[in-house]
Amino acid sequence: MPTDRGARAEQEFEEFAVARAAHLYRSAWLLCGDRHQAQDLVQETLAKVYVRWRRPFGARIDNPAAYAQTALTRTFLSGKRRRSSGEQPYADLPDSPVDDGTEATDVRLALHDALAELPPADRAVLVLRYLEDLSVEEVAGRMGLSPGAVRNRSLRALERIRGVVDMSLALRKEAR
Amino acid sequence: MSTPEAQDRQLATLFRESTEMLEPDVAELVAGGVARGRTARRRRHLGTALGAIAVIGVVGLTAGVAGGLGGSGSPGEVAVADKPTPMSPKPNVTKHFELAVPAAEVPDAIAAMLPPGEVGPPLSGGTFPLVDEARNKVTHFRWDGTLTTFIIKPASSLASCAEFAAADPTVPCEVVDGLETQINPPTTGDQVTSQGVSVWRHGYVVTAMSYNAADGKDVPPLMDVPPISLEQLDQIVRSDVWFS
Repeated sequence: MPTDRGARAEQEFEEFAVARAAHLYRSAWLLCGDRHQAQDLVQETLAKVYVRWRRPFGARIDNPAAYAQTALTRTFLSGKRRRSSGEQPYADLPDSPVDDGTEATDVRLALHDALAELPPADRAVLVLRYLEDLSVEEVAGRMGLSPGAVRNRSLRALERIRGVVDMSLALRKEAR
Repeated sequence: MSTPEAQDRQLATLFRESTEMLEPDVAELVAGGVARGRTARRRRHLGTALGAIAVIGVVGLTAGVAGGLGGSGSPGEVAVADKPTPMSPKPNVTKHFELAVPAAEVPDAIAAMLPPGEVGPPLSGGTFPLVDEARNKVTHFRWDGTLTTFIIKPASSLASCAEFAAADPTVPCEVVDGLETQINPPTTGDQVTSQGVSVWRHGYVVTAMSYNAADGKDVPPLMDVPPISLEQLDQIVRSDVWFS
């Protein structure tokens, strides 16, 4: 039976989860490339935050958003390690980009495909760097890598998706 | 050719715009997360080892001392209900204790209580925030290269000892020398072993943790066991030095 404090902690967690779920889902979608896997990853992440949240000190996680993002990244990577042979290219595109212009949609599709070609850790580096807007050092901390390793992975991944970036850049120039 | 900075900005925009159209079912995500979290917690209480729980979370366990054994979580000095003392409590003479040691000075204060060892500066940022509020101190630092965590929080902000002992019977709440105490024996998860002690004192929960690795999880251990023993951790959390 939840106590007053337990009920309050639960309510606080749910408020946090409601506020962050969509953002976590977007990260998860870029990492997984699949709507259902992304949903699974976010729920697993929230479950981990929930467990920590209900602990006395866990209830005062200093930066719950960062904690959740780190949990999401590490859960994704550990899941990929467990399924070492299971790195599935995105066989389909379950979340069709919004039809807001053919070229823009093409860019999104290209990004989606390009990310699918990257190793999971490289994908995570890009998501943390460019969606979460974290520094190399912060990414290193979140992923348990050295800053040098993050830089190397980032450079390698950027090289591989350069075409998508260039396409996006060209589209923006056209639009101006 | 665009500069690296321009490419960075472009990629950030691309990532953001490519995901803006995603509108997940937030209620479903949250409900699923809560349901899984409850299941995980129940498994823990049943003694099931869940490797998914980060060792750093053990910090939370140690805080189970928060709250009174017999009370409903009221903060303050521990009342040893089953052992009336000759000196009756003085409920109307409640002294308000301040925290005496700035968070940044905690490593040196702890080092003074331990045999010679290599004490590192307080860590800050990322997963190791340095918190230095009037009634809330969190300090992480390295002792002989291993992570050490010291936390003081107002007892009123935490669940009660009874609540947490009930939630996790593997870490009972005991009254030792008149103070509610929770002793976390060595626990290994995600490669790292940690142990800790918390006491409830002067309306605060004082916790000290020692790990056998430089981080709380997913790093190779530097030694077989955490370098600061449970006895030493107990001495640290019971020290008068923290209060004024």
